[in-house]
Amino acid sequence: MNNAPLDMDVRFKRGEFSLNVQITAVGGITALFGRSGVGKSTIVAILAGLLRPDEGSIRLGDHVLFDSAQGIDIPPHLRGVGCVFQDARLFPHLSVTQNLTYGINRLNPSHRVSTYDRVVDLLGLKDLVSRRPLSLSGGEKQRVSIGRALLSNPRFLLMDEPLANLDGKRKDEILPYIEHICEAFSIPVIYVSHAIDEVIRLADTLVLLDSGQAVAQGTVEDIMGRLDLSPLTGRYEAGAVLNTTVLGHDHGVELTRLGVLGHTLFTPKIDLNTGQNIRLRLRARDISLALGAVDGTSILNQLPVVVKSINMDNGPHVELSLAITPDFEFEDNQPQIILARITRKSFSALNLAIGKPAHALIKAVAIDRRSLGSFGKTNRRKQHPK
Amino acid sequence: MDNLSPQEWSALMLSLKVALWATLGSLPLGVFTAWLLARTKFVGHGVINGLVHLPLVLPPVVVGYMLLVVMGRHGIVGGFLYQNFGFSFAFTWKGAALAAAVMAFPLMVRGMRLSLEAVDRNLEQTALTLGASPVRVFVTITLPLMLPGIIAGTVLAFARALGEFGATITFASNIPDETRTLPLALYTLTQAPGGETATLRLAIIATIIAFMALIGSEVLAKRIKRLTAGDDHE
Amino acid sequence: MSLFRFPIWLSIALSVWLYCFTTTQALSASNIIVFAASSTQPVIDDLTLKLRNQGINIQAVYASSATLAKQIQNGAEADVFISANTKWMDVLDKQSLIAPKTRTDIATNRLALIAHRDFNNIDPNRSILQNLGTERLAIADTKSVPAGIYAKQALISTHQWEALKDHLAPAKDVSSALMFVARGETPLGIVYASDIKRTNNVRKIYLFKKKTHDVIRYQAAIVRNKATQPVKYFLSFLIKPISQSVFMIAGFGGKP
Repeated sequence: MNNAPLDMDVRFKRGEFSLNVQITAVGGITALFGRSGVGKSTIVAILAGLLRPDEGSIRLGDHVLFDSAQGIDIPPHLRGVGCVFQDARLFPHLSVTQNLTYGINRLNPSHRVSTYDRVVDLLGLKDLVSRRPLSLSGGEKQRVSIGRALLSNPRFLLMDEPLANLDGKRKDEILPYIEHICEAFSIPVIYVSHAIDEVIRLADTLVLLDSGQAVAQGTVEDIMGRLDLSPLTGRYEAGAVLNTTVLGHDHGVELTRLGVLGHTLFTPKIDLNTGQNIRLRLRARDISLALGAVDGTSILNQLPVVVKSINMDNGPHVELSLAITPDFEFEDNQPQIILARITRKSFSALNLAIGKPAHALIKAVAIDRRSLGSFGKTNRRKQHPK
Repeated sequence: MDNLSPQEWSALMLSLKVALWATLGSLPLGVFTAWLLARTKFVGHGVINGLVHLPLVLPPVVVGYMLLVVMGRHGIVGGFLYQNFGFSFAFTWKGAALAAAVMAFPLMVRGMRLSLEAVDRNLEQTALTLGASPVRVFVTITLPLMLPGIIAGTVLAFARALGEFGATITFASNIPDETRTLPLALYTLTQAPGGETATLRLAIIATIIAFMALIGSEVLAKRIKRLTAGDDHE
Repeated sequence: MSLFRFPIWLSIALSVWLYCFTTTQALSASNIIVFAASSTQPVIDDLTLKLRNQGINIQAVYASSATLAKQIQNGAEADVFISANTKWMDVLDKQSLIAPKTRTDIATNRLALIAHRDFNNIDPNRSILQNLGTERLAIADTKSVPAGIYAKQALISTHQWEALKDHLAPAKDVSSALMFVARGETPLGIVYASDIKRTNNVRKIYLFKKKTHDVIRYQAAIVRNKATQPVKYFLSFLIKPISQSVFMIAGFGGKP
């Protein structure tokens, strides 16, 4: 049941807003990403059963949750969906423990204690259980909210911008918790966000939403590497995502070495073990191009690339997608893309064209913890219908 | 306070009994009506709303008369009760309680409806997603959160029931120990000459009770509000 | 605003307002507030209609004579007081709240035992208590309301008071007592003879003998300082033959 695909095909219209989405989520964490107002929360409400689509169907494996043709509309309390919202929505008149166990009767009685202990442990809630929601900080409330959803034995988890109300520091505190539970509980997760760094950190699959439609679905790396989608994935923050492995640390200079397709990238020291996989996001504007490797420069990272596609308009910039040329041992691996944004002037000066080789220059300093997706993300490569 | 005469004492006890039964008896219906008006939409919603508020705007004597028509022995409902169960409201404390309940009902519903509308529906929806049936959501989430309003509405209704006169005397008449509540006892005293001291005494007692009820409800409501205060968004 | 642009709606509104204003002024000149014992309601309502044609506007307030007298004591704005007994008139007279010279007898009445029309088990020869069984006797409040005071006198005279006094349903005025019998809440009641005609749902069992109670004398008087021309006219109107015949038709006796 954990790998039952969630198939959603619905249409919904209210006033000026209309939604027409076909989404398939096959286990792991599926991120729904798009600007504000594009319909993400509507999709969440529809999946939870709180909003009825005008037409369509929603299936989770063999369970039909909604089918307008057959007149099926399972009410929210029977859908087996666990929700975590932007505001924690803890019940103010109940204690933290009572909140956590509110939905626990959906859980097999013999598993209740062990699951409860596990959730409390995983989310670091031990000190909070005897307190009341009112006295908790925003981050603590959100953790309780996640625990509460987990303890209701959901078939899948819906997380609607759970970190949106938290400031940067608290976000960083909670992200690891979310990573941990997604690993530990292997319940499919639909994660809605408008923050690309959360998506990169957590998601396996990415669904791009725009104007009430799902315009693209695929792995995070694939979607982020597509030039045509970069207006939706981040504009000035756009950048591709690489799968890397931690090769080791240079303790004297506080740097870490990441391996990608046989090449080495230097980054400021990260707290990860050698051998761990980690996602790396490189912002297009942090990438410079040269026709060959460059000596006598402070830029530590130089990757051989081949130009794959070019995006040019009348403005001062040009965007390119570049495939990293693998070191010969790694030739059979999946291709990895980097996006670069340079001036049109330089583009002309370098005489770049599709298929031409070049070197991508990346400052180590440009890579920060924010750019790093968690470990393990790179291992789950599912088949996705495109 | 001087010792009360037996009649005064009897009126006081009867008043408390009548008001208590009137309030507690209409409590479930009050909650239901508040829910009906606050959370549902249907044809006739406005009619129900109007009916509920009718005792607020009609002269109490008119309400008493309507009670006779509907709940009297030959009335639509009362006739059924009388013929099949031998049950009659007339001239008993139950009649006085019914009259008081009807007059106080709009106040009860208003207080409850306001607090029900203030309950965050997001919380109810979250409870649904956690697997709680709509009934369980109502009992475990909605009711506790609207408790301050329930208390406020109930106490206000109690105070109103204590002071009810016009509908009571018209529907249940003025029988000592059965229907002569404090207001009717006060009225009886004022109709005869020389009852001034006794009148004043009774009036003060009635006022003190109503006052205590109101203060008690404020304190209780504040306590509960503190316990159930909503999340602050950061 | 030039005359041509003066909005139609404003003109209409102004005209209506002016009309009401002037008419009200005219009306308030002959607007009479009458506090009348509730048993006189059918008569006074009828006379009100007749007087409207003569340009006099009667506003009647009906309640027990006791209640009305209390209100006048507390400064209620009545022009005329009509009482169902002399006791309450005496009370106001003593407090100089009425113009004593204007006290006028206007009608009399009889006391009647009535029953709900469906109640057939009445034996007039048996005592009221025996006829009641476990039910109650509707009666106006015996301490203050004239109808109740007369009724208590009659019951004492007929030696039934002690037996009945715990089986009463005391109402706040005789109209309420009548209503209890008419709705069948009580099988029997004691009201005025004139009340029998007010509803189809009751029937007369018998009239109490005149000697069992004080003479039922209705009196009217002008409240102090209210003796304007229309008010005086109204008082005199009450004893005119046309009004007296209305009293008769309603079941009252003529002025004593």
